[in-house]
Amino acid sequence: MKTKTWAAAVLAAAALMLTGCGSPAPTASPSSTADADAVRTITHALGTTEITGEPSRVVALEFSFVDSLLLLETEPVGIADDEDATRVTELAGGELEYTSVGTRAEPNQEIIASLKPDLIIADTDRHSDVYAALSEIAPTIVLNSREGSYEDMKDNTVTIADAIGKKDAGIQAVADHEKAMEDIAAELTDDSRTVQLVTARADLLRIHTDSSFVGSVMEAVGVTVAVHSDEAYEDASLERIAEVNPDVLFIASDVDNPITDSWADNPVWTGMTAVSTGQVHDADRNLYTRFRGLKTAETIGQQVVDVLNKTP
Amino acid sequence: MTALVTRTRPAGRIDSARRVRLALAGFGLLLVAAAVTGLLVGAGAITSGHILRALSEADLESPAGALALHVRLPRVVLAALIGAALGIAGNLMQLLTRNPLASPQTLGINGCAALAMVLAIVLDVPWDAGVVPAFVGAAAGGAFIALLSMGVARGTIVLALAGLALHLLCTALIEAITVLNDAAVDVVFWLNGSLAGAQWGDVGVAAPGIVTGITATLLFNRHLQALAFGREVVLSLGQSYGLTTMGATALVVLLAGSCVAVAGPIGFVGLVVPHLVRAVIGKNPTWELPLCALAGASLLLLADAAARVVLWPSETPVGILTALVGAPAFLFLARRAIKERP
Repeated sequence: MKTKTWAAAVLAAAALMLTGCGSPAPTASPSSTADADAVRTITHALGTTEITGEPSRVVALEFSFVDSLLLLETEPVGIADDEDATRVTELAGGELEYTSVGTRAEPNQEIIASLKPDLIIADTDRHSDVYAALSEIAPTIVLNSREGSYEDMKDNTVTIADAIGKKDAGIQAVADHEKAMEDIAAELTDDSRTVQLVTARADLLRIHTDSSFVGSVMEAVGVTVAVHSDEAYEDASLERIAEVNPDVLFIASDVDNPITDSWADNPVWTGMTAVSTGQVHDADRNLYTRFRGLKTAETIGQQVVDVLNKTP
Repeated sequence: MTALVTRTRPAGRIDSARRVRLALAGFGLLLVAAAVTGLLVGAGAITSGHILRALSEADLESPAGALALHVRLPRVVLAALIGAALGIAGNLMQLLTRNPLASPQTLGINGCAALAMVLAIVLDVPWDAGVVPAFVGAAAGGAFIALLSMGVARGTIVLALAGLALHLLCTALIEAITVLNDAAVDVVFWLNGSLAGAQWGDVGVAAPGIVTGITATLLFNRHLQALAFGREVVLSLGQSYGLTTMGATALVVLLAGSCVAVAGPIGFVGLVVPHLVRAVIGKNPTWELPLCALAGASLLLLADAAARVVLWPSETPVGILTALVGAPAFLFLARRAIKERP
């Protein structure tokens, strides 16, 4: 028993030393000498993590973390981009130089380690199981992105800012963002129509309720979301979406044959208000359902308000 | 073959006839009740009252009428067809392998079909063509099993084991693909088996194969049931053993492939239904297959009605419900079978 504990302690110490060896060179930038030795304790979903200095080699395992980092003018060195660089390019509004660390669902720990990061930002839902393993590679913070609401993204941005030693910039970025959202909300001409965003996969329709990220973003710019629920998502049949019957329907899909196409001739579908009045709009699935950041929120809010203003 | 049974168990035969009549009436009534339930049940704003009114007034243009005609009815018809097909396919598998644990799942046919489907998605074959990969996969699985059974003349156990290995291989590959490829995650719902998207188009896709398969099975009922008594009995009845097993395998591929193509791999129905039927009617080979169709249809209808409401407003994949109900039911039946053994 005791020898095991000792062995674990020695291993942990060795791991700490190893990770410690990798980091000093990149972090020692001249501008941040004042903070370089300061240790900050970051509280996150799985506890607290101590971070020294200003991490500059950050690995982001969700898109919303990339969004936050870019707001804070920090480019991640590694991103779980689902092996699809176009998603990152779309999110960043230009090509980023980074290394793909695989899918968000199953990021490759060897690649992450090879990047010698000094901070890893992981998702509660997807990466809690590998938190210990990631923590051995570099200080890791775990935040709720995948199941997180719009408010969570604001909090996450401040936490990430704190983690990279830019807390004030983070608070400022959130304040700027809230101002931008108010401006967008002011553009919306009086609109009482119900709006619903759905993801159309090949086998399923998923409703994003008012507590989902995109739902709460819409509500933040004064749009009424059709489905109110404590659950962020509903897996819906045609029967269910016809019952919801929103006035305006946004469909996010990136498959060749979304399930909504198979409903095209079904009287239940064509009888829906949004369908019969031509209020069905395409939405970019990456933007509306995958990115979930603050810059993304502004883009979504603006797009939805523009569509509603254009189609009275 | 009936003669064979009569000679060995004269008293049981009379009792069995009564049990068959009871089972026919019972499962028949259950089927009607389940179909009506399927048509009326849903926890949404449109209640069964709305639907009954729309139907009684023949007002099929109204929201309730349209819902009944274009969403609920195709779903009920599809559930009945698939339930019947799975019940029969399961019984055929058990006859083929002389193994009570056999089903389209256990022989890897469902797995092959699902794997083909996932591969089609990863390789970007359009979903419209989805029925084709499912069928090709089921046929490949069936062909593999058939080839194997030809090579090993008396290999019912080898057959069952090979099928299980095939199933496990397919499941592992699907798992690997969904982990590595983001697009494949999009069919996770389908992979659990679901009737949520059923429309008349799906009925059109599945019905020809299922109706043909069931009709052929019932026509060759006696030839197929002979498999239960083993190779020697099949040969003594003047049938070709190879032809009989290959015919049965082909029927399973046709039935299971049609099911997987539209509803994904729904498990446990094929496994449990034949046991349920045998538990009700006892040993009566003539009626086993027809009753499996009837019982399978009613049970899947009930499971699908439940799939709509348990997590309302979200749909639950019916395959998860059949597994939840099927697994314990199967354990119960297996225990009882062991106790009854002399």
